Amino acid sequence: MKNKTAGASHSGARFYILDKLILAALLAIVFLFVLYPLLCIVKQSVTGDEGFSLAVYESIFGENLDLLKNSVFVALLSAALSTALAVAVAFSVRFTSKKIGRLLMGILLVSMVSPPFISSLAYIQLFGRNGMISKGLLGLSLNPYGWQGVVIMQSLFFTSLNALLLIGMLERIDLSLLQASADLGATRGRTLYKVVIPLISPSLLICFLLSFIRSMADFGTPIVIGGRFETVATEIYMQIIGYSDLHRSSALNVLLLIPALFGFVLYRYLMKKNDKIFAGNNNKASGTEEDFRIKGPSAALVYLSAAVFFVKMLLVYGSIFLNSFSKNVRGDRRFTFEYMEALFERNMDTFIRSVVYALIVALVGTFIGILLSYYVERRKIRFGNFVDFVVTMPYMLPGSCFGIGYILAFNHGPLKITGTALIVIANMIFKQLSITTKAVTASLAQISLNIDDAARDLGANKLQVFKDILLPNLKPAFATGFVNNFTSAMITAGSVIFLITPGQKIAVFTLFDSINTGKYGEASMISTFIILITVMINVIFYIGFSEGRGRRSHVSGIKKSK
Amino acid sequence: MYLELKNLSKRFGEKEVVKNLSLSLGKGELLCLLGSSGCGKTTTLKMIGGFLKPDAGEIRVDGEDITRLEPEERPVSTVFQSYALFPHLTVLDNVAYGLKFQKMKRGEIRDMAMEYLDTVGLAEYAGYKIHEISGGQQQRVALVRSLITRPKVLLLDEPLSNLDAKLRVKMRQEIRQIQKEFGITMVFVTHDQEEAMVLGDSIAIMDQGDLVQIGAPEEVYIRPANEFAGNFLGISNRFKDDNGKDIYCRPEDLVFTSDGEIHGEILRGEFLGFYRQYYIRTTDGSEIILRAGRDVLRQKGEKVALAVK
Repeated sequence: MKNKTAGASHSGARFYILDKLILAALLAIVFLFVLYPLLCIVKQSVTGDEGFSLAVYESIFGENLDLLKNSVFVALLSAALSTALAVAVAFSVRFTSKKIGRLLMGILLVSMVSPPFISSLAYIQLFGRNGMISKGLLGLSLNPYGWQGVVIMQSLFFTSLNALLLIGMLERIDLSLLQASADLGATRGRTLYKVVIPLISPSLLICFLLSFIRSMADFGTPIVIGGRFETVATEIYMQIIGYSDLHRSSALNVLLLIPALFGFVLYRYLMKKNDKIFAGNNNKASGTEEDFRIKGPSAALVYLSAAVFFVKMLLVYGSIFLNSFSKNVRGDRRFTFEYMEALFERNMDTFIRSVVYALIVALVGTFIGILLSYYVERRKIRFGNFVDFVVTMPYMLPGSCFGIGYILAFNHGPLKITGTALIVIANMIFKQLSITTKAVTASLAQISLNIDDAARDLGANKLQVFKDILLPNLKPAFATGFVNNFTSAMITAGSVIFLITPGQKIAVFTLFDSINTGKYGEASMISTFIILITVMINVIFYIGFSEGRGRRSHVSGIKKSK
Repeated sequence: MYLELKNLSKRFGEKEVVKNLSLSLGKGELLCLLGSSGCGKTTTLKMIGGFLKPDAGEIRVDGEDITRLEPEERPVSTVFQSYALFPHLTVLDNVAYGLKFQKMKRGEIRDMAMEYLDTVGLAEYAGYKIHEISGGQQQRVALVRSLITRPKVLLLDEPLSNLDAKLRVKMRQEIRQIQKEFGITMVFVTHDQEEAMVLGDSIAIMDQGDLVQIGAPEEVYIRPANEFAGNFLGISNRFKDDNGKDIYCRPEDLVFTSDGEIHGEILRGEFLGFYRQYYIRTTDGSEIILRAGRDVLRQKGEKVALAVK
């Protein structure tokens, strides 16, 4: 009667082998490109001239205690400041009118597709010795270098990411909770303080943790505007770039690795807690309902802090753009194409290389991410939790760790790939793999497990279910993963800085180089260009994606009318 | 027997969800698996479908042991409670999906899918996406999507629970009709006793993983195996009459009559459309329920005499 039995068992064995092969290959590359490099750092740091040795660590705590103190000091301040600012920004985006919210969100999103050094660059150009504001407007000659500048710049930079995370959480809050609070007589301020803040408190801690770890790992900002202020991260950079001392830098990296790992474990715990808080909420703000708006004194406070942030952001982008196309000639600002010409002459190849790398990273990284989430989340493979832990680590750990780990792991033997494009691309892919796996996992959760069961019930094997049913439904997640991967590959500097050789520079590297050698005009031009390219790709994907949606409903509209 | 479950057991951690379950079903028959949520009926269905592996026991279809087969290898098909229709495919592609894995030509698949859609009156919706059709239509698509693979046993997991009351009645007639037309063997899981009564050739009542009773609808209704089965198939009254004799009856079996041997007092009455329901305190202190015609009026506090019909 029913002949599906014969067909299915025929292809059963072949499928089984293929399935296991794909899984094995996935696990192998994850362990090779994530776990192995990190283990190499730990091993290197405890290896002395004659075998095992902790000598490096002893010297570190002696010599480098001041560095560590500096790092922790700045990290605490930056984390606290950026979290507080992010709350104000998130509130002002989420709880104002739709129009203003959208505008502010746009500014936030642009700041997410910008290279990390540009606020420092703008800061020097605005408030430095020859700053447009300090010298040009106020006639002062300030010294912008020092820890204050580092804290301000880091806070500004981290606030964007924190605010986006918080806005995501605010959108998950059941609107009726806020309505209930207002209904029971609480003022807006009281509702924010007593209902909203407690609900997002795990997220606040997450923001703090992420920012703390980021600050500890950030070498770019202190190098650019720290002046004589040195941290563990800048010392690692100097040890590698200046002295090529892998022992010392490995040991210093372990110093960063320990708090980062600790923070990472806490982060995962908090994320799970968040999921519990927001589980089962299906009363999200719909847009049709009267939304919750802040007003009164609480609003004034929120808007004021948010305004500080947004004005600063506008100043940053304004000055970058202005400085790309003008120069200061004896106190006189003149329009110029000089920097653009310089870019086209000298740096075009690095831009092309950057875009090519970013596209490869986006394509391959997203593909690997989708497969991995499928096996971990859908197939519930054994030790899936551990695999997820390993995959998420690189995103949380200091870039220098992940960069130096790659040097140690891949500079000898059969896997010698240092100096090639492969090591740079692999590093980018695995550094941000977890962004894709998170997006895909969220998408998979939207697809009922019954759908898989139904497909198998009708005769599909697991691989066919993946191909026919899951993959088509993962298109939005693919788009998200692709854009995120591309953006990160274009703008992230951390780990790849250590892996790039002079023959194969990429745009962020050139940017960092230009800032450090004082070529601010060129640096501004490079920044403008990076931002433009990245925004363009984001917009193209966004339009392409939403057009696809429009077309579908258009067709159905015709059909329904018949 | 066409479908046989032998000593089927399943536990999740500490909890034994299905306990040593055995039952069988003849070819072309419809069995309703009835019970409240958590009784193990859906777990049983999932084990037959192959989505859960039983800890012990055996499942046979048409004499063949299918206990260890993958879902795609089993000659059974499931209609899911949520329908589990593929959201990215059209109605036609959903129905055709199962035929992809049988050696058929593209054109044949299309024709056959259209033919099946036609049997449930959905041919004109072939090109629609799933979210563009109504719940009742989705229900029919899910049904023919399974039917088209010509399974030996069709499993339905509370398929009508997402529909409104009116549509539910209509769909259950339709399902019964399709079942007769195709002569298909069905297991129908439900928690709605009325649905079970109307649909089932036989009803199996489950409670906390145990099979309480299996039999024809009349049989289980009139002669419930125990108090649970009785309660589940309609509210039962249990009290002592004036002579101290145990009385066990259904609300519709009680009548007001002046020479009744049972005495009590009306606590309250409810108007339920085509009948009235009275709550009565009997002399032994029990609270019982009587169902009467809508023109039978009694006041709160009134002393009444009753009898069992």
